[in-house]
Amino acid sequence: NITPINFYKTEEDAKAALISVYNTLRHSNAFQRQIILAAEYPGEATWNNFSGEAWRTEMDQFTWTTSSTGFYQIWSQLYVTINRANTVLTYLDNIEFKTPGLKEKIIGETRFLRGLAYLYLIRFFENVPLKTEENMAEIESSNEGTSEAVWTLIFDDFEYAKNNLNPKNSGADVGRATAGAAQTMLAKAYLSYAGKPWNKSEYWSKAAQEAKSAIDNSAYGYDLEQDYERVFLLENEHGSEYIFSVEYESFMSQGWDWPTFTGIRSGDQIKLDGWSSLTVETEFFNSMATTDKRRSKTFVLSYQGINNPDRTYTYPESIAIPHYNKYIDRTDVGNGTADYALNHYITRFSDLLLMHSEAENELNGPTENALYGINRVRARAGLPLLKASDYTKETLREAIFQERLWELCQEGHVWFDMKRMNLMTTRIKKYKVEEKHYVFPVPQNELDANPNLVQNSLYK
Amino acid sequence: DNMQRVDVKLNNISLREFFSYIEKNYPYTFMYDNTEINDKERISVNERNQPITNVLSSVLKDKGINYEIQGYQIILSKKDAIDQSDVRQAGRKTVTGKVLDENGDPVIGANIVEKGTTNGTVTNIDGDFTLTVENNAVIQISYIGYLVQEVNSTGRNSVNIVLQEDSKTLDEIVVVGYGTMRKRDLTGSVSSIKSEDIQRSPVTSLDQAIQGKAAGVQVSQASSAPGGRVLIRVRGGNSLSSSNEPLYVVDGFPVSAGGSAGGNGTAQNPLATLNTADIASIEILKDASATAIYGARGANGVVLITTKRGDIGRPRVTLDAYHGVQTVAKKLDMMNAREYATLVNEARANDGQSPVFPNPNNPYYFPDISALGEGVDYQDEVFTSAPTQNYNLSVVGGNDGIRYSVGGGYFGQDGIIKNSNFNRASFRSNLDIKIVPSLTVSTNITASHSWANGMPSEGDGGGGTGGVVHGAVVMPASVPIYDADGNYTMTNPTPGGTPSNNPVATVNHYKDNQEIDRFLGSVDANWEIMKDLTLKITFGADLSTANRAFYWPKQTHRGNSKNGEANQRYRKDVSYLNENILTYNKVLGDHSFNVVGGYTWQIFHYKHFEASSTGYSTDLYLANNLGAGTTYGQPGSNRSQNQLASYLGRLNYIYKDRYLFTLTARADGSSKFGANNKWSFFPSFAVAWRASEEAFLREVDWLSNLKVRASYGKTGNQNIDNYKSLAMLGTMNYALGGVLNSGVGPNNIPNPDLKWETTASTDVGLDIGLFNNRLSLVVDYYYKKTTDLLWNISTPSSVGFGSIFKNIGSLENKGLEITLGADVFTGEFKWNTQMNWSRNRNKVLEIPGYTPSTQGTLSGHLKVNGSWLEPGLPVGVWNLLKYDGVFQDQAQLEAGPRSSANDKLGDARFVDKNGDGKINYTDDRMIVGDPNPDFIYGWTNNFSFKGFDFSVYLQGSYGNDIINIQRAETNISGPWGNQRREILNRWTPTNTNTSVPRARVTVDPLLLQSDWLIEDGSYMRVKTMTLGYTFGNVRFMNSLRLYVTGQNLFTITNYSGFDPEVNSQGNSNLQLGVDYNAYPSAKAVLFGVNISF
Repeated sequence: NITPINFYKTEEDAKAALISVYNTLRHSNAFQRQIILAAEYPGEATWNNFSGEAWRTEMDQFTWTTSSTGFYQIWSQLYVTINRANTVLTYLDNIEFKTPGLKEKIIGETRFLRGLAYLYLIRFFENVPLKTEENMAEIESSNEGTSEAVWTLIFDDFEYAKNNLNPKNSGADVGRATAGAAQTMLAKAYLSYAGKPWNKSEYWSKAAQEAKSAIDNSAYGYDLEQDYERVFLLENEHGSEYIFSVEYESFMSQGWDWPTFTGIRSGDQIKLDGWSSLTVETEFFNSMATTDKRRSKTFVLSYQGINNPDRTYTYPESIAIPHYNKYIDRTDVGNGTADYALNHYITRFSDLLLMHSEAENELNGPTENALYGINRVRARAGLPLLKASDYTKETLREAIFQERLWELCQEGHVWFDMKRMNLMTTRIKKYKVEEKHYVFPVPQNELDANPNLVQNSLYK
Repeated sequence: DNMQRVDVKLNNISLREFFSYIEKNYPYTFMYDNTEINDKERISVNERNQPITNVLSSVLKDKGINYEIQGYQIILSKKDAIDQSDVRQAGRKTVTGKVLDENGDPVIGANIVEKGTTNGTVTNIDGDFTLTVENNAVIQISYIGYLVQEVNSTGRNSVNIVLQEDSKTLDEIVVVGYGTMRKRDLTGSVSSIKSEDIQRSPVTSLDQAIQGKAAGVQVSQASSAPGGRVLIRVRGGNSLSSSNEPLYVVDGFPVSAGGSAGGNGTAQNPLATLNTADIASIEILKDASATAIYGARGANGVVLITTKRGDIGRPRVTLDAYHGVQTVAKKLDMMNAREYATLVNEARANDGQSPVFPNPNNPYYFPDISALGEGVDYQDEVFTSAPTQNYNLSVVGGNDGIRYSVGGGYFGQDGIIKNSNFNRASFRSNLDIKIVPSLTVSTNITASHSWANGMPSEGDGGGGTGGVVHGAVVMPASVPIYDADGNYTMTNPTPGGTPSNNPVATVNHYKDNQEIDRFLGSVDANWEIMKDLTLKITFGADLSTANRAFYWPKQTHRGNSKNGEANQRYRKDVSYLNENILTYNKVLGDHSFNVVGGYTWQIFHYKHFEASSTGYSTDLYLANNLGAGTTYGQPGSNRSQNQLASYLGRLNYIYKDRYLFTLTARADGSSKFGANNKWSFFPSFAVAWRASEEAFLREVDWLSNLKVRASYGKTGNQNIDNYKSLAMLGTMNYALGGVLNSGVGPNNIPNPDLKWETTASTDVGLDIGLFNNRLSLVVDYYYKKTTDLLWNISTPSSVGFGSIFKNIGSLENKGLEITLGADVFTGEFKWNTQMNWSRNRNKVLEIPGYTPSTQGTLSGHLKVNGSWLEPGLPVGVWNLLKYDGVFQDQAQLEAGPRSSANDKLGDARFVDKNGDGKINYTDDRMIVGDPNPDFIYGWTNNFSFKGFDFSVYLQGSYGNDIINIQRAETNISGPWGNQRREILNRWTPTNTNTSVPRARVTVDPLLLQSDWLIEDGSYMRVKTMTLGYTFGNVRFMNSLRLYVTGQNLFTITNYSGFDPEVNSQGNSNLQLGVDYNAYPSAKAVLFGVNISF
């Protein structure tokens, strides 16, 4: 058996230790499910049709409490990422590196992943304990007054990664964090810090600057796919639009069940039947123009039965409620309900373009600069381009939000967007939304286990 | 073992010299009056390897001397002159006879006495005797350990006697830890089961032999599959997270091996590899006085299994065989096709959906209801009547130098689910070799090969697992077995239904071969260093190799979706043992001492390997060629090891044969525990008072035994996974660039303080024997408190781990056990009855830092919650909503409380615990069920009359609840799967006076989180009934017994599932009384024969 005493000695050990940090991304309490659900259900595009977990309904209908189950799962799993990253950083000093630059690369990837975990934590929960080293002795860390320090750590981690990682990876390294991914996430961090509730408006320019620099960096080589559908094909999951994803593979216990989760229950749609656990709000389905080229990839409009190939199913004739089609690639055939290989984008190029538009708009209002990103996205979707003269800062903000929803729905962005842009209370009509819904409570289980934690005042 | 064989070659010596020669070389002493016996008479003798009786008979033949052997004393007396001179004198006659034991073996050296005289003889090697007596004499036959019998010689010249063992004798020897004791000297609580009790009726494995036979021992089935797993609890469960199984010790060897290669169903029972025919006795040590000598492994009780050994005498051969047929004990009453289709349409109509029957697009599966008939009875398709058979041959014998007990057997049982079975071939060889009088070397060797084919039964039917029991009840009767093209229907096609696999395809084509090879062997050297002091050194090995190979061919749904799926698993368990035990016995006047001390060491290795592949072009390879698949699964393997070094000691001190004291201690050093707590110490102390030996009670004729016992002590439980105290790194892989990368990261928070759980137990007992022990009563009260409970206690998860495995918390078990035995009739018609009754009360006392919560889920896809764990409550209770019937009319619906605004007439009502007018799972749940029985009991009756024997054995449990998860699929008034016929009584606008909810497509999730699933699991079962007849002396046979046995013939219960004796969650400590598609139990009729030569 392996213990820290006989491990962390060679370069290979350091590489394996880093892999254990990547491994946390695909946990169902993290990006494989719960983080996506937490960002999607309390939005306006998505709801839970068939679902046994109360938490999903609570999220969808804004009735969550401090004990709602998903919060603790997300909180604790993101700290697993942080602990493994801290473990790598702690033990790395024991290792004598022979390959030049390897140590910096490993630190860079590790800090990228730690920054990513903290970025999600602070946006979800706002006040979280800051852990920067492996320490099993002092476990009851406080979350009071940590916000500034956590943000600083996030910026530093992404900055270090940006400066030490490859602009682009190839071969067996595809899937690792890159300088481009770090810069994109740095832009996202600045954007979030500039928006609600931190409102550090001086960071709009930093966000715009980092986004622009990433868009223009030819070494990263980012570009929009011509055809929206190609973004979600298994064969093209590391195409020009890819920035950073959770990597899944079939047939090696490295798949996920998202197609099952969103597939149509008893629908003859996918080989192993779907669950209809994340489905589309009819209002959102109707909001997308029928001319929008994204429509047929985003939603299930029509398909041939998988067990009854002579049958065609269509919405709304033989499919009762609208479903997502985004992550259903019929060539993606794994070894069971949880063995699909299609990766999940944490961020991709259209996200970056729209972030840039948003930062520019907040900084200077509806300028051509601000319209650059959103119009590239609209052009590909076959929608008319926006004209600066038609917009105020506020209306363009909403247009960017709406565009993000159409472009990025089901990818785990909308709750963060509503939070940052302060749109939750105005856009959600169906349920009663209050100020406290802009933040998630410190999970009750965590409060029970740690006397030094303080609950967010909105939940007291 | 009075039949020592001797070698004597002496010429022309005096009788006295002959006697001293025998006394010097053999353990016998001669006693005689030398005024009566002339020991100077000269003789010559030349006998080789002859029983002592033969030698004595030949030497004393013409000397006018009678002899009698009592133990190792040979008493000589002068023959009656008349007797000698005129045996044909009027009024006297010669009676010949034969004395056999209950097994039909000759009893050698039994005393035959003409009652009231000194006239007597002993039986020879064939159990025969000849004695001349008065015409109307009473002949008394006695032998140590057997009841004295008397026969009147009037009108008969020959008598055949079958001696009955005197099970009440207080000098009965019982096996205890690291030694044996006279039962009368015990201070602890020990239940003893003898081989006669085991073998009176056929049992297939050890646990069946224990069930209901020992007070305080609960045996339940995790699976009724052939070779299926059982759960044994001695006086309740002491632990929440460690194993609660007792320690099993076979011929002194603490065993752990014999595990299967994993997976569901058959060959799961490690005890199934032992042949019950080999067992001489089973002792169950229950209180600390008895178990403390097993230290850190003693807290859950200890089961000592002793196999048969040889004794002196000519080879005796026994053959036991039976053959029988089993049938499913109960079928569930399910809807037929028409009833089910009606329900489906009604449910859809209620939920505003269009009918499914008929569906013009798919008339094959969904015809008009009027065209449907009974449909398919999937239970009939899957269940079958199944043969079972057993053969055992054994040879026992020996002489002074070597004694042997060897045997072999074959046991084969087909399961009542088609194509499931279990087979075992085994042999045993126990030898005792006396090298010199002070040194004996013994071997104990058993080896077995078990092979089985399993069918998936317990657990989930969903997700392509192919559960056969699930399929047999849940697959709707309306679904044909074959599709329109003649291929198997793969899954349930009903909209809104479970994607249940077709169980017929599974039973006909699924292959799941499971094998276990087991070798358990040890060599003991017993050296009598000096008088009263013995050293026993043991080396032993327990080797077990298990393999499981399963294949899902394309005819099955699971195989079809993966183009064939094959899997191979290997497991190897090895344990080596060394024990060095010194025993000292001394009697000094009124003081008697027995001292045991020793050092033991045992190491355990475990290895596991598995691999799988899918995507086969042909089904022909089965699981024998994993490389032939096109897609390879992730292989798995691991290895672990732990060891235990121990010092042990015990002092038994008896004063005046009535004040008994026992002091026991053991120190265990275990590799499993933290660096700060490597050594543990477990002491116990016990006293007993044999009041019946006091002068003032000796005169009381009817009181044959009165003993009061009390003990206190501590024992431990070290049954946790290896390496739990260490900071472990785990495998955490991730794919990059399409290639799997190996990752290694931290797995837990280390805990260097981790240690054993400690159970302190107090036992007070009373043993009473009345009327020469014809009536006996044993009562025990115990209280056990377990502290330092191991539990994963929550830590702030910001440290990276949500919990730490720690010694924290405590729980208690207390209970009462009563065992009553009586020889109601002892004449020619005999009736012996044994009853035991026990109750145990379990309660969690405290777990600091733990917030009471539901422990896991019992079914993931049905969302059925597991038990509720809370200090102050027993382990295993369910905290769920209380079902309160249905909204029968509008008034009730308006009055509420409702669980949802959408509740309609006919929907389920629940009790509004907090009275807030609405139903909410978190706020309104309450403790609605407890799987722990109020009491359990067993009742055995043995009758015999002349050659007939008849026995009935009942066993039962009272007051326990069962969570019947099958109800979550078959009792929900929905199209999910076939429904029980009781759902015909569902609420409809015309059938409102009912408590069964209306039909719905989507089940009310709260229904499955309520006591709708919980039923009373009390039962009383006639476990076995046996009628036998024994023929004496049939041709070449010593005895021949024929019998017929019925197993599981009647059960009285209100439980609606297949079998109330169920425990689907196997060895889980927290999930008790769960029935999740358990393998149904069988009833059986067996015909058998016991022959001895």
